[in-house]
Amino acid sequence: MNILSIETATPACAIGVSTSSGVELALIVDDERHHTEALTPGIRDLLYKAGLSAKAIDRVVVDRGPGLYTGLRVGIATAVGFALGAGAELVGVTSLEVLAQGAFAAGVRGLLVSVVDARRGEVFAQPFVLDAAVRAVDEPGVAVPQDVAREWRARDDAVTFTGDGVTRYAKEFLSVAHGAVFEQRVPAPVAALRLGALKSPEAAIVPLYLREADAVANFSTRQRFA
Amino acid sequence: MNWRRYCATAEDTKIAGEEFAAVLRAGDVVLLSGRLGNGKTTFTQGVARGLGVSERVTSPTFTMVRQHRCVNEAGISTLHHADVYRVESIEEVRELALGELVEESAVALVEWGEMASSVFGRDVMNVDFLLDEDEGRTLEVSGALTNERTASLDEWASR
Repeated sequence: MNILSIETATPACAIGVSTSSGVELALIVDDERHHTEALTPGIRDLLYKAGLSAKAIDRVVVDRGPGLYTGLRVGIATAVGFALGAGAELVGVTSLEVLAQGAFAAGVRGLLVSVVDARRGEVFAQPFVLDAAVRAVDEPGVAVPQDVAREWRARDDAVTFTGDGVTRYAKEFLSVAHGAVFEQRVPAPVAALRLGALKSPEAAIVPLYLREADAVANFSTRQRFA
Repeated sequence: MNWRRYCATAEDTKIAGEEFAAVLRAGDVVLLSGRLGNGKTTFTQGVARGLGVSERVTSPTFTMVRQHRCVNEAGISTLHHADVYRVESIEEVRELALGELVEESAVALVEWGEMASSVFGRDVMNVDFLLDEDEGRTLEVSGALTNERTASLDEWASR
């Protein structure tokens, strides 16, 4: 199966291609949020390098978040459009699980927390256990980085942190005595390709924003002010 | 911690906004809360004056958001003035992507922004417009972002 992966949840834009003959290619345009400019030419270049036409792609794997809103819009729209045009299947992965998969592939084992910078003083985080495979041990959530670090400081478990949220809030995460940091700012295309190969295709990709739960309720409070 | 400033007239509210511009830095999001007619747009007009906006600033109630070019020495090149009073869902607020747009040397002032505060995250400033019995206004500034601005807010509140 020929697979294309699209990654736009962080300021970088990353693309991966794996072919049925076992070739894996990755391109990371690590530029400040130029997803719109970088993504489509990047896909074209990587397909050319892999010797594949767009129609030869059987599956498109896209990061559906959590992450940058503007990035996810570009990534998911491009993935849906590409899949429609190429007649390919669509598979969604989350940024947090791709980061965990990337750490796993690099040999990290035990408890791992994926942390994506959510901007404005918050992070998206999710804990995993990495043993024979990658297993999520809790739901993804949005939190203040100081609170995430405090929670892990209070525990005795050895834990590894990874993701661009760890890079941004290095001081907080390095303060966890039993903590280690696996430097990984961009969810890796190769990890997304491998994760995406194992999942079932989906009819629609639902972006994972995580910042909506309490906000919907707030609309009813408008009446109090009006 | 919060800061209060009393404004007896609309012109006072505008001056409070103009001087509040000195508190702002590129990347800031400010959520303005208060009843209709309590001075949110007037305050924003003052902020615009303080940031060096030359065009007229009017309520963006129907357009949701307006951009104004700024000329100042604070490195703030754009003021995004939004009003989310008429939105029907949180998705419409998210689509404005204000929290990410301000990273391009801009600031955002969002009228009724507290309705969708979770979209903006923790690091925001809140300005609440409270109507006093004598028809004056008390402006109250709070929010996690104020922790880095205590000196300039002390100055602002003392005037």
